[in-house]
Amino acid sequence: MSLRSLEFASAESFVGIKRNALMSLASITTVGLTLAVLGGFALLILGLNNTAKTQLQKFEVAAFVKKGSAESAVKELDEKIRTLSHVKDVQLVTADEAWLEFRRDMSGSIDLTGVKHNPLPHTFRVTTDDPASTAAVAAGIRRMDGIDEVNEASREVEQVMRLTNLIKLIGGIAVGLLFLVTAFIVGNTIRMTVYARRREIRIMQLVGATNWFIRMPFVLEGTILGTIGGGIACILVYFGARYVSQTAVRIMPLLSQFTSNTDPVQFFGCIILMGSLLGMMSSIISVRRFLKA
Amino acid sequence: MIEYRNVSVIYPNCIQALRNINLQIEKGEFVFVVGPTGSGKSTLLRLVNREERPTSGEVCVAGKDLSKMRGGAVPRLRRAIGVVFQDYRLLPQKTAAENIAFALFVTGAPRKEIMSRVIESLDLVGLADRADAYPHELSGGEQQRVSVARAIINNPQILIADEPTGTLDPDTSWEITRTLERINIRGTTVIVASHDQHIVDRMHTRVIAIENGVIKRDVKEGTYHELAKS
Repeated sequence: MSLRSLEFASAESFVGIKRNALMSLASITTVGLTLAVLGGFALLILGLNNTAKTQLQKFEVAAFVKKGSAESAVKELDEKIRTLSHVKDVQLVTADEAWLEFRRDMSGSIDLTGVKHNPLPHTFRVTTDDPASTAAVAAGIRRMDGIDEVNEASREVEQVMRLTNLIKLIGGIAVGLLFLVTAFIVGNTIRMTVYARRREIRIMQLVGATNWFIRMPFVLEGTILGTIGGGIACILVYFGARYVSQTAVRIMPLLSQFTSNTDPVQFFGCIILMGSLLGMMSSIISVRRFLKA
Repeated sequence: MIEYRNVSVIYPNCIQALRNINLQIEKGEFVFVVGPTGSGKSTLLRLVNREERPTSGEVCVAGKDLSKMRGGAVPRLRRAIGVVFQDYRLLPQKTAAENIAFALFVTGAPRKEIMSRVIESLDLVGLADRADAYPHELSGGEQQRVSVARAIINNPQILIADEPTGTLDPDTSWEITRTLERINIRGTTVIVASHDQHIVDRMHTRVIAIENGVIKRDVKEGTYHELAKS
């Protein structure tokens, strides 16, 4: 691809966009909306995944030691838990530490000054190397002597995972359909440009222009439309996500923990890139058939 | 230069345009293809630059079998073949010079070279003074000369013209034909499809007559109709 043919292609593609201003606008809008929906779903899924990972798996299993157990018994339990398979880490939180932590967390919300005795037991916080094996680990610990009670987050993890999968499915279907619609509209826009230039294309073919030379302006036109659409999607997703999260946090303050933890540059870069690719592919497909020499 | 071997063309609607054509055109020849409308003249011409492909048989141009040619090689073939149409096929929003330059431009020629060759080409067809006119400002004959100038800008080995004088008055037709003759003298093989009896008879060159897709006559120094004596 020489510089001159690129120059030709870019000049021609802008003429094409101007000529079908309305269809171009429709293409940009559909690309924008499609990618905004995709981006919204992606943010939601990333957020759920992230929450499941960071919040719920922090200590997946909490085992409470029977009150009044001897220190040696606690130590023995620690070692026993470590021998279970899939156990990644065992952390002992003593009753005193737990009490301190609890009082710190609750300061301001509950008045604990009247409580003289520490009601909390020693606690083991056990992390596993795989969320799916949490239940088995919990069951293993529950069978041990000296353990009073075992709490596991596996059910919550499972629920979040199930929700994530459902959203993935719905999002996948919605985005897939929208992609088809978008490809159709962008493709049609390009085809209109092709149709408007059929005489030029014919002449170019007859004087021996290569297919790529002829195709280039149209492919570039589609890519430009897609890229602009991607940019619009970014703006929509950015403000949409900000509005939704602000509203949600106002209603449920607990949701402030909910974050997708993604790099915005990477995320929006991906959306714009997808817009460019979507535009490019749509125009390649729609021009291909026309240029069978 | 151009060779047809047992060429038949059948269109998808089952119309047989050419039947078993065997024909050879040598380098530097000036050939008229004559015959009534629908006889297969255009198809015969369009086989040369692979606008059309034979249903059976083979067409060789400059020693290359076009049916075996890859699609990617077609642009190079077409750069060696100039084409002129009855309806000129000029781009209305480009000037005469730009129309001619366009043919060079799309092949990636350097800008400086394009300029000088456009001027040279316009000179050859006698239109140097109308370089900046738009097609709608030119007469039919002038437009056709622009299209001839465009066809020869790549210095093609072959020039094919499909009814180049079909819509022009006799004087202008003769001028265009003389222009084609000048190009032929420079060494380009010229094939003209025509049903302009006057011009064909006046040129007195090789004439190939086609009727219903079959070659009826192929005469070295021929005329439009078969002469009663010969």
